[in-house]
Amino acid sequence: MTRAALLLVALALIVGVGIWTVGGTERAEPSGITLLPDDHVLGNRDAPVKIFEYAEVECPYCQKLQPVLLRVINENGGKVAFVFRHFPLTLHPKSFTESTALECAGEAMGDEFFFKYLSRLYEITPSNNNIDVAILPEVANELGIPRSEFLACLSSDRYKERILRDIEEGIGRNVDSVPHLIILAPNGKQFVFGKSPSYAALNAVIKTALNEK
Amino acid sequence: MALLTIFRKARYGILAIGVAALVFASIILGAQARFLAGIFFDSGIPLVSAFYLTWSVLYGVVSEFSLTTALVATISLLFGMNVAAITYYVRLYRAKAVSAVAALGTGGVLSGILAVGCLSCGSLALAFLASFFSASSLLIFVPYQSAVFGLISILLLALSLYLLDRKLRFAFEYSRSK
Repeated sequence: MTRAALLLVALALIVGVGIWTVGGTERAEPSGITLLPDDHVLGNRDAPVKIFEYAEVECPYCQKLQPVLLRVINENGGKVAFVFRHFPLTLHPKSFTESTALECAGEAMGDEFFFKYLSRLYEITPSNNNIDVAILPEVANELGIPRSEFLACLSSDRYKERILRDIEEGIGRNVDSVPHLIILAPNGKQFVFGKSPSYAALNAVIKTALNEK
Repeated sequence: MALLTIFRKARYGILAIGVAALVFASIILGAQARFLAGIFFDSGIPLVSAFYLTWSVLYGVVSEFSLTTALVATISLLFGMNVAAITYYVRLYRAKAVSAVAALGTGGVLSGILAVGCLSCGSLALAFLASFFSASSLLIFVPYQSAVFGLISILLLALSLYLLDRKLRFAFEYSRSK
């Protein structure tokens, strides 16, 4: 049994060293994420807790996380806001077009429609770059955005820099995969999920963040 | 079945379950290593809160059961069973059945486990280690088609258990015949 105990201790040490190693690199994480004037926000912009998500529509994990985020926002009333930042992966070239489409939806009807359009895209995409981008104007039309206006926006380059800014900002924050969440507490403390969290874990972080005044 | 004989012994049953639980927790927490590192080293929250958040990661994965959770749980259990069976095998070799194991031509269990100088047991130990490490890393860190890797790993771990069971059966029979 002594050997068994040693084996368990050795395994625990391996895990500990692993976490410590990752922790060592994470200390370089830049601090002070702030809400920018043109960030897309769902919920109260002045909410004490903000969830910043770096995501793209073609990522299946982002797709699964979306209902979890909406549930957390709804359950916490005006205390939690959701901020979406683009992080289209080169692995999914169509996701850049979708990011542009999202910006066009936001331009036409505001943030409320930006998030409606986002939810609708998550609903219809088979994910992993399998969406037919020809459907993007149809979806916009469904939501009441004039087709011609939307197409003109989509074919222009006017949101390229805006999307690239989000990507560069994300890279500066060590975002290397999506979804990547940064939960900002009222006192400026940050909680970072490099991988998609469960509802229970996210909810626990929100509760903790709300107590950080 | 030799493995059943082993797992009926409380200490090996506990060892298998203990290792399985530790491995399961390691894989799940390892996937959120960045988050955990942040709450323990950077966030400045009380230690109690940090442990509460760590627990919430584990609880969330178990309560919101998914295919990945099922695969990780199966791999962890098979890994625990493999560790317990190999521990028993090593003890058997070092205690009363030295001649029995030697008679099988394995030529040294420890060297075999390390896959040094013993092809027969090296192959199963390597299959077991490789399948585990590939499973734990690929399941969590490879975003797409990870279920396929998980299933392959489960098959390899099951094969490793089957081979261990066969070796132990031979060893038991040899001991009885003496």
